[in-house]
Amino acid sequence: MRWHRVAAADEIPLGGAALFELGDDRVAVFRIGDSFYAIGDECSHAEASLSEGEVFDMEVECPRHGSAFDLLTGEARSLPATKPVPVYQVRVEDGWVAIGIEGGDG
Amino acid sequence: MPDRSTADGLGGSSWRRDQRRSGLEAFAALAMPTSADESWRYVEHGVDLDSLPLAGPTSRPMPAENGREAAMVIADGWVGGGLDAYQKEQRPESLVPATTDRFAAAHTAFATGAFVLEVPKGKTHPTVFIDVQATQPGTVTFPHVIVSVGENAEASVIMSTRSVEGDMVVVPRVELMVGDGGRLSFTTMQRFGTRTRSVSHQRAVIGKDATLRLGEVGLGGAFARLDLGVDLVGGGASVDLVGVFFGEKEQTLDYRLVITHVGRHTSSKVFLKGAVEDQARSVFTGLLRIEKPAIRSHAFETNRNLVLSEGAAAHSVPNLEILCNDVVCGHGSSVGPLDPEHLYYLQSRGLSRPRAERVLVRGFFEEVLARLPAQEVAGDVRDALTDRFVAAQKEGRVR
Repeated sequence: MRWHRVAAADEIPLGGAALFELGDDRVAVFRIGDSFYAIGDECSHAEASLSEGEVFDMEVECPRHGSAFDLLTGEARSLPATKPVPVYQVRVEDGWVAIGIEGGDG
Repeated sequence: MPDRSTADGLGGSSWRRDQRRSGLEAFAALAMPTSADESWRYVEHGVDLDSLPLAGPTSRPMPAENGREAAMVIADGWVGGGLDAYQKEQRPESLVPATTDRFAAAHTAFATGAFVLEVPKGKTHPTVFIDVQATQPGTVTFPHVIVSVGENAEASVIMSTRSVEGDMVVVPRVELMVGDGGRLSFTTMQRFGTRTRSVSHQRAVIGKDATLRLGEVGLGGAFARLDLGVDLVGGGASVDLVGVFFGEKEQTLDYRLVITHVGRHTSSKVFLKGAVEDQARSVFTGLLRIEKPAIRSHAFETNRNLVLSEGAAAHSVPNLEILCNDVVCGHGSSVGPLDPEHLYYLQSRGLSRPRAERVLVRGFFEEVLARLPAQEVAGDVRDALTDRFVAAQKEGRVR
């Protein structure tokens, strides 16, 4: 696991999201209160960016077709998507948001 | 309202003083418009111009938004610093006659300055961001922007208009001149405070083979009117207008368009989509006028309206006036709620009702957002539109 600092914690607005590209991974980071959640940005149904979606009760709603994904598990909670999106570990280090990428050691 | 002595006190060159006097005359002669006037049908502006003082220079400018530094700030009608190379004087001939209505007359009489952007022949000007703000409740202000694009020159402008909370009146005037072969993109982001009443006049004159792309975003204001006139004068001139609005609560959004084709082979496209919820109302009247010499011209206008609450209303009145028999013209207009069949279909595919509504509202606006001339603001506009609908859903104000 390799940790990447992507942004200062206060750069991500409350209730908002930001998109980060880390190598081949496109990661959407959501902020709910003081907690951060990171999932794969691309909807598993059709090409769309989840970081542009709205969050309702810990689920992000895809702006394109309304699929919903659980921010904690990546699970698809509403059709049309049926497959989950990846989940990333996220933590705050010295006021920075850091995303953990598997297999990124080195 | 300021009177003759106010106008004289504002000074300026001799032609400007003459201009002010003609404004004063029209201001004294004209009555405030009422809904009995054809071009003010369906709306009540709720403004008493005579009771409001003219705002002086502000001591509290509004802070920059989203870190977007404006090249030019016009606060309470007073043209600020920045872009020093440009003149701040108006011009002897305004594209908006003082006699247009009493608001225009007051503008001619009392405007304190204009921001003039002139792009010389053959030059390309990088995007200019203009921040028009009104900061003093209880006043009236007259911002003024003039853009003149020379022959084969190119420019793009984004004008944001905003105000603090509090009762006030703003009368912005925009004049656009596009010389032969020139290209101008001009986008207005209207986000006035909820108690501001605004009457905006925008006029454009387009030369031979020149192109104007207009973006009109309307979100704010208790009453916000856009009176827009475009004259396609040169042969091959074209205008492409893309607009989006969303009214909520007690807002009235009022769009009055007149596009006049004069030159041959001129083309106009108007594409305006809007939504209203709560008790908001919107009005669109769009006249496409094709003059006799304008043979082989193309003119299309589309206005689509979503009515999201029972108490909301949208009026849409497209009009054609064709004096020439060799043209291609068309118009489309619709007013209605979210399509129940679309909602049913999405729900049959597993979306909850509120989710299906959000998908349809987003999709409705997406078509306009993708075509806005200033793509750099499309994201902000999309967020504002979505937030407005989601807030109404959460509070049960829609359906």
